Amino acid sequence: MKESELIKKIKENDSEAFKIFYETYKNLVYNVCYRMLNNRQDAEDVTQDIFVKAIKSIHKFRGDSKISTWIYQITVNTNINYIRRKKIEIWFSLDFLVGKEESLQDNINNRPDFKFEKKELEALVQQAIQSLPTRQRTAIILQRYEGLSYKKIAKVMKTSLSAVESLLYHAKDNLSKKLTVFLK
Amino acid sequence: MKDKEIQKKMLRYIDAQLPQKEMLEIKHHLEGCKTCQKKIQILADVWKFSNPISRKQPSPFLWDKISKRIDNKNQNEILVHKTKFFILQTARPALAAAIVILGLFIGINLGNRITISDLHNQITESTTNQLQNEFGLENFQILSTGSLGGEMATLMANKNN
Repeated sequence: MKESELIKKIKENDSEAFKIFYETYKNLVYNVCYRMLNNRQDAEDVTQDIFVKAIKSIHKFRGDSKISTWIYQITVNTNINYIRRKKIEIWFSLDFLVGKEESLQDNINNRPDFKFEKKELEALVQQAIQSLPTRQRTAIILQRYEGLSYKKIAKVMKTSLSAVESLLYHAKDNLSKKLTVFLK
Repeated sequence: MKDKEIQKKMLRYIDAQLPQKEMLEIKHHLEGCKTCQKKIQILADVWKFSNPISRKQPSPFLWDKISKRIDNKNQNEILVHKTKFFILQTARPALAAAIVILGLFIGINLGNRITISDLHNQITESTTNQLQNEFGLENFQILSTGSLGGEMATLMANKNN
């Protein structure tokens, strides 16, 4: 089914079209959520929110960009809002006062031979990405894991090309610092 | 370049995203610095192994939850629409009628309300009647408000004569 046809059917409240729309974009949405939040349950909750929001506000999609760009925009915005809300919740619940569980870095420090499973290395990079400021994190996820061009990242994040370049520049430098500290 | 500066730029070096001049500078530095060499090797491995291609799959039951939420939202929207329709089609005319009735009620009440000047007039009239009866004056005219004292004085003077 063509993109325009699919959108038309969604606007007509066709439940079959909803399902096709979900099947087409579920991996894109879920993976961005998972990379942004680093938690399966949170990622699924936010994915639900994103699809409900997208289907309900499809009439706002004017078609002047690709639908994938529009989906990325909703995904990024919903995730940023979720992270902001979560930070406030943690602050009010005073959870930040409670000591963290054993971090990956502690795990690394206990294993100076540096023999890690691929999964552990992935988790290490994931943890470093998590510690980046939200906008840098978003830019690096869209570039590295989603393979988006700088131009598309700028469109998704509603910012300029030079701002994206700057975000990625700082993100990579921050990651280098964090990872070389992890691996010292 | 110092070690710290090099280490900060390592990922961009690995991804070959530095200007040519800096790429060469780092390359020269790495040739002579074993610490940075080791670090960049490890970092390159980590960066490579954290496979960006590996995609996660959402739970197979996720769609059921989403479709349920969409249905609920639809039902809520229908309820909101019905409520709006009820307000527009039924409650609004009823409200308009109630406002008209209330207006009439207030209007009638205001119409029946005795003003202070009415009260004055009433007092004057009853006093005049009393004076008419007492002094037997048939053509006596109703005293206007404020002139009662004067008229009383005249009548008293007449009686005394």
